[in-house]
Amino acid sequence: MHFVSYQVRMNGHEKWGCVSPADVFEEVDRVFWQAVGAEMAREKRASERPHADAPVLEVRGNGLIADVTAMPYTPAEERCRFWQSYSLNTLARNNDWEQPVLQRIMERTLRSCARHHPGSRKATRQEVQGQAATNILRLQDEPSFSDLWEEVARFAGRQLLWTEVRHHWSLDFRGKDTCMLQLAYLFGAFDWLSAIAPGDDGQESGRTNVRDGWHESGRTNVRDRWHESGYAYCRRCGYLQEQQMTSRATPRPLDRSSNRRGANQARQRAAHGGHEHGPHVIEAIWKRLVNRWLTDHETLIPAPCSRCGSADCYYCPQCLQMGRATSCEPLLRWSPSLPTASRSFPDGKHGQPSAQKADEHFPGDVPFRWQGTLSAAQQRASDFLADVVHHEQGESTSPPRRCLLWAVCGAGKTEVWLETIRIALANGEKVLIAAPRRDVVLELSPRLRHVFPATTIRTLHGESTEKYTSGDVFISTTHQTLRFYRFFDLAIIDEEDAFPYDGDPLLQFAVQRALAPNGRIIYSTATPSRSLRRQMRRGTLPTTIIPGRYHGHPLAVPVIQRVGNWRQHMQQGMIITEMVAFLVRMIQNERYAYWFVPHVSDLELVLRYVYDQLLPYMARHGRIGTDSGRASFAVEPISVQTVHANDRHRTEIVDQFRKQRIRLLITTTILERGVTIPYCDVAVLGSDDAVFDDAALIQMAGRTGRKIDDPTGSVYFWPEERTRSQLACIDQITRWNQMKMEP
Amino acid sequence: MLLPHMACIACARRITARFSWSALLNAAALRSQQLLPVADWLCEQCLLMLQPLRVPHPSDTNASDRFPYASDRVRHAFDRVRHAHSTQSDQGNDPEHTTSRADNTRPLCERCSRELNEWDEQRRTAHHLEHRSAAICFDCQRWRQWEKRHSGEILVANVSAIRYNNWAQELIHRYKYKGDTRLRYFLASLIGATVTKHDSLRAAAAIIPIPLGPTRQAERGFNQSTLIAELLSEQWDIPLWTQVIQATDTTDHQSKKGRTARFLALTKKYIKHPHIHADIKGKRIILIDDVYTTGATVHAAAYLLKQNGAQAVVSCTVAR
Repeated sequence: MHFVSYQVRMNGHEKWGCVSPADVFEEVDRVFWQAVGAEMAREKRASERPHADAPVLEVRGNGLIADVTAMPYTPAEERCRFWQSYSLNTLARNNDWEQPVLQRIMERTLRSCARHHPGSRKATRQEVQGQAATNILRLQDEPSFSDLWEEVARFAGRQLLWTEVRHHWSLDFRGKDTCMLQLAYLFGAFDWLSAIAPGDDGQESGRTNVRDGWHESGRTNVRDRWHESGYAYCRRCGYLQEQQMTSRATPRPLDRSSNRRGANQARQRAAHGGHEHGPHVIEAIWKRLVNRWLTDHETLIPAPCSRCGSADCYYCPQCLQMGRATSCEPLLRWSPSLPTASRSFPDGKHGQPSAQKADEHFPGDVPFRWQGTLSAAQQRASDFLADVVHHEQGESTSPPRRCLLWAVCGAGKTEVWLETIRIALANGEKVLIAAPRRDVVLELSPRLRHVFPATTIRTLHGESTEKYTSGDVFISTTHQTLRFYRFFDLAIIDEEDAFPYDGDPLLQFAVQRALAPNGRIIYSTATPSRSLRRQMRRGTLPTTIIPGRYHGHPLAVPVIQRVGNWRQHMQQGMIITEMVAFLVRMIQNERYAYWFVPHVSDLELVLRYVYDQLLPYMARHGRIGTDSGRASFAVEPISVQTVHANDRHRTEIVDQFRKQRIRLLITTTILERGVTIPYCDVAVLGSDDAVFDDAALIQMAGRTGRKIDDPTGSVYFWPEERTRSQLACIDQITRWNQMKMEP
Repeated sequence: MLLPHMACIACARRITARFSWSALLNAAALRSQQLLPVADWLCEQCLLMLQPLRVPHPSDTNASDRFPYASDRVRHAFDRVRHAHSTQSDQGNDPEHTTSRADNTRPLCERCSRELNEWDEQRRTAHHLEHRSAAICFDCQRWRQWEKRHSGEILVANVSAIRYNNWAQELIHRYKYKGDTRLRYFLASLIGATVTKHDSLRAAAAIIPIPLGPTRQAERGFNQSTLIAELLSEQWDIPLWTQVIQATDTTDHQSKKGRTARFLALTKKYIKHPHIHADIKGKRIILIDDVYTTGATVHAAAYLLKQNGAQAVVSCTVAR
């Protein structure tokens, strides 16, 4: 961390600033160790009484900032060890250790801030001391420090921007937040880092993604270091980090064997003397152009910032959605295993209750409430997973163990995980279940809560309220894993080939980084992506396959019914008999249905067609669809709804459909996975469209017949013409059905 | 029109094309200009979403005046968008089928550059025909009334570049709240394209962005209007005064108040900087803001300037 930002609020006015912090930290740390030494030597220090009439002043900010990597030792760890070995109660009873420490820390921080920013001189010594004293008094009023530790522990394993932490910390600790955070820092609960980090020390000179020309401003700060290294990346999302994404950002050196016409022509001209510049000049021009080019695209973005006052404070364009990570923004990395209260304060009175609590939840017996039985194939897969995931491994440096669970839709993948999760929880491990979409997450969590009644299960998605809570099992959308750092021992990636995870290197990186050093990954899908299939074929990825559904009935094989140019038919109000027949069957047999359409723009068209044409038509011709001709058919009012990804009422509509209040749901591919409804049929309108690949078609066909009460369903494809992906889908499903029969 | 390898600034869609020297050189040349032609930032789809507002100015007859650097293709694309937008018909996508643009366009309010609707027309005929007022919308009529009653003219006019539709809302949300400050170049070039170089607007002494309250500024780390105003002042060669107006933090809720109360509260929010004695007496001043919704913000800032002796105040906003 190379900046100290601070925020001073005095008499209603607020002031932000940012100074170069290396000196501040050194000072802070020196003060800290001095105080510790003094305490250990039992030197009594005369403490100044706080000034009586100190004005209302709040000092917040990251006054305590360590560049942990730059220091010769790791202060956070040492501090942690020191405080753990040393009884806090002894210190607290004397009452004089924290006052000088915190007080002087604040004082010095503020003084150095004032040195850099004359404007903040308003915070005088007395004010700061007064505030420090108030904070300490508040701290002493606190009934126990274990409360603090519970608060600290809920951030365990996270990496969060300072603004996020400040917000969520102050919600619970209003007024005491700075003091508590400082204490937590002194106990080594987290590291301060800068969100945008300079890369390596410029060993590879070719790499540049920081704009030329900034160094002319003559500032001495982090950007000078960047200039030396010529390279920076976003620590939070790993954007432009070397292993992940620099391949696109790296200016390629001029390749002499390349067949790029322009380059070779220029080179030839130069070689034949037709051009007055030598090759080195052309090369330089080329490099400059490429640099310029890359500056505009694959870089961190410079922007003027009023917080740190610099004209180009870089931010990461990749993870803007999660809050802006700028180069003056600290990133707090909380250690994955925080010292619990019992471990920190072994002989104190505060330690005991939480020690008892820990005994209650002694890992080893995890309450497990699941009455169902696994089918033979499921049992085999479950044993396989438990074996691969939980067998002993010697060295922790080897790459993460991974395996693939390839099960048809409705094979009961979730039940297959349960045993593995149970063992992991019994070993005291943290489990991540990453699903591609929020709907899937919301469906999964009550099921798991039912199975593991005593385990804390957290649901993380964009609008979740449990984002900053601790737990043992986290069911999360893939994006939320960006907030974790080396935390999970077991990650189960549901629907590996689904949209956001597949094809987004950011998310794959996020999941890899959220894993603890010897973490394991289980990919679980019905349609593995091409790369996983390749790894499986090569034998690098242990795989188990479940070819049939848990209830033993075969999968529904889709039926192709060509409906011609259905968009035009609908616009012209022609009656498509296949659709009428489907609706009649649906209503007569009291079933539910999905209709998938290729594009969002088709939703409105189909919905209006159903309401304006099909239902009135069916009402007019009441006898349609019956063989005997006698059974008259009354059209009851059925509820038809549409839903798409950006629908405002998406969650509600899906919920209604789940509760079977909607008979027919017209939707795009968003509901192709993870949502299970009994008694439903599926039709895919325009299944020849390019947006439906065979994986999507397999998933959509797999929506039917998932409950044992209703083991079969019918699936229709309504294309204009047959395509390879439809045939591949039918092929695959038939093959699975055969595979199930054979063994 | 995007060049190969460049991403659309609104939807980040990338045009994939093979590397070519000409494209590289072209891009480098274009990049050296800070403000590009509007169409160069966007992909085709986003270009269709952008709904430019016509500025009632005689020099605004074709797109070539707006985009001095644009190729014919770009000009054509932008013209087509404008046609499709202005005719509001099904056949509008094809320039051959469109009738001349002037036939079907709705008139814009001459004061705030909003499109007039039937409601405005009725109001105007009912109440303002005898006053022989210009074609202004109902909102602006109310502003005029207020001005007449309480002070002189506050705001001469507001000029906006695009309509504040969902697409624009998303764009500005990303700029302001997500903090994607790259977009400032694009948003400034929108204003730059709307206010042409012959426009009388340009004859101003200073550009003043609408300030942010200190808390908001600290939270956000930047002032969205200042960033745009910086670029525009460079482009138009008009000095930028950022310190003259300052905003104080307001704690009370704006939404629960009536229209006048809200305006009055805002006039208290903006104060002149106590120590900077900028000479605004008798000057023409351009205010810059991102969105003009009710106009209260712009009017409050303009009111302050007029109170301090400015001759005339005009405002430019990105969206309306």
